[in-house]
Amino acid sequence: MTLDLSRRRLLAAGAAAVVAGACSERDGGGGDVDLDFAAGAAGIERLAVDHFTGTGRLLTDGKLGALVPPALAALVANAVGQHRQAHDAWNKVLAGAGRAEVTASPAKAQEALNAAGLRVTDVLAAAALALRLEDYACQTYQRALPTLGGPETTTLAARLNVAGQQRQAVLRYLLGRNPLAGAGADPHLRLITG
Amino acid sequence: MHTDEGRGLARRHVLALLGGGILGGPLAAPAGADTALDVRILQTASSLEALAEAACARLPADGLSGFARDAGRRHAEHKQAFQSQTSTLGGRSQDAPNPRFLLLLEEPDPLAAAATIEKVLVDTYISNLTVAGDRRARELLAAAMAGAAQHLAVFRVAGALAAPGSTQPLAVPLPVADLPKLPSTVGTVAPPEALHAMGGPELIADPASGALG
Repeated sequence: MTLDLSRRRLLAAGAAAVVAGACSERDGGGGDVDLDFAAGAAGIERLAVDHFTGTGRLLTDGKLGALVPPALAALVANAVGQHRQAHDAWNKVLAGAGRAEVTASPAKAQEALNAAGLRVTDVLAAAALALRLEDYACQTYQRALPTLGGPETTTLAARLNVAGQQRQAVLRYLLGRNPLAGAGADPHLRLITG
Repeated sequence: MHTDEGRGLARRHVLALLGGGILGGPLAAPAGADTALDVRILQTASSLEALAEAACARLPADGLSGFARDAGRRHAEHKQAFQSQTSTLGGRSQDAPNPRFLLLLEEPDPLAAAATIEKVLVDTYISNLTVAGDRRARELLAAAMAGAAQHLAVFRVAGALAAPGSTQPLAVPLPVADLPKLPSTVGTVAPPEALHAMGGPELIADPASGALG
C-alpha cells in the first residue's frame, strides 16, 4: 500500500515517535523510580537468560526426550540472545545514571524457578515453565508502564514487553493453547511461585 | 530528573507540533491542552481498535478463523475501554476506523494487512505511552499494546506457515501432536528481535489522525 502523507501530516505523525528520543537526549532518563525499576528488570532478564540457557542445554543433551521439536528449540535458542540483549539494555541505563550494573538474578525468584524446574521432565513441561517465566516478566513490565516517567525508560520497557508478549503467544501456540492471554488475567505476580 | 518531568517535556513537544507548530514553542500550549491531548490520544486509539476489528473480520475462514473472531472481539473490548475513558475526560467517543490507514482494509492479502495494522497499533501505543498524562489512559494503552503484540505474533506465525515451501497447515489452536512437524522458523518469527523494532512515522497514527473536532 502507498500511504499518501503530506509533509504536515508526516510531521505530526512523527511527533510522538521522535519525542522520546529528543527528550532522552536532553535529560538522560527518568528519576529514581525509573532506575529502581531498571535494576529490577535487569535482574529478571538475567534470570531469563540463565533459565533459557539451561533449558537449551537440557534439550540438546536429550534430557527431555530424544525428539526435540525444531520450533521449540529455535525459540529457546532465540530467547537466550534476546533476553541477554534486554539485560544489557537495562544495565546500560543503570550505568548511564551512575548506578551499579545488575549481574545476578533475584534470589527468591531464582529459587522458586529452580524448584519448578525439578519437575520438568519433557519438552511440553519445559515450554510451560518458560511460558510462566515470560508471563512473569511481562506482568512486571505491564504493571510498571503506567508509572514510569522517563520517555527512555518507558519506551525501553514497552519495546521489551512487546517482544515478551510475542514470545508468550508463540509458546502458548506451541503448547496447543489459545495464543492470547486470558482476559482479565491476574494482575498480581504469581508465576514463579504458582 | 523527576519522573513526570520527562513525560511533561514530551507532551509539550507534541502539543507544540500539533497545535501552534514549531513557531509556537514548547511552552505555548494553551490551558486545558493536556486533557485535550489525552482525549485525542484516546479517540485515535479507539479508531485504531475499530480498524483492527475490521481487519480481523476480513481474515479468511480457515485454520485462523476462530482466533480471528477472538482477536476481533478483544479489539472491540479495547475500543469500548478507550471510549469510556474518553467520555470520563469530557471528550466524544470515536467509533469509526482510523481514516489514515483505512486503505489497508482494501489490501488483497488480508493476513498481511492485519499484521501491518497490529504493528501500527503497537507502535502508536508505545509512542503515546511517553506522552499521555492521564494514568488510566496509560493503563489502557499498555494493555491494548500487549494484546496487539500477541495478535501480531500469531499473524507472523501464520505468515511463516503460509510461505512458499511450508507444508504444515495453520491451525489455531495447534493439535499438540503436530508440534514436532512445525518448522524452526515458527520459533523465531515472533519476536524477530529482542527490542521490538519501531516503524517509521508512516506507520504511527498521530494523535490528530483519529481525533474528533
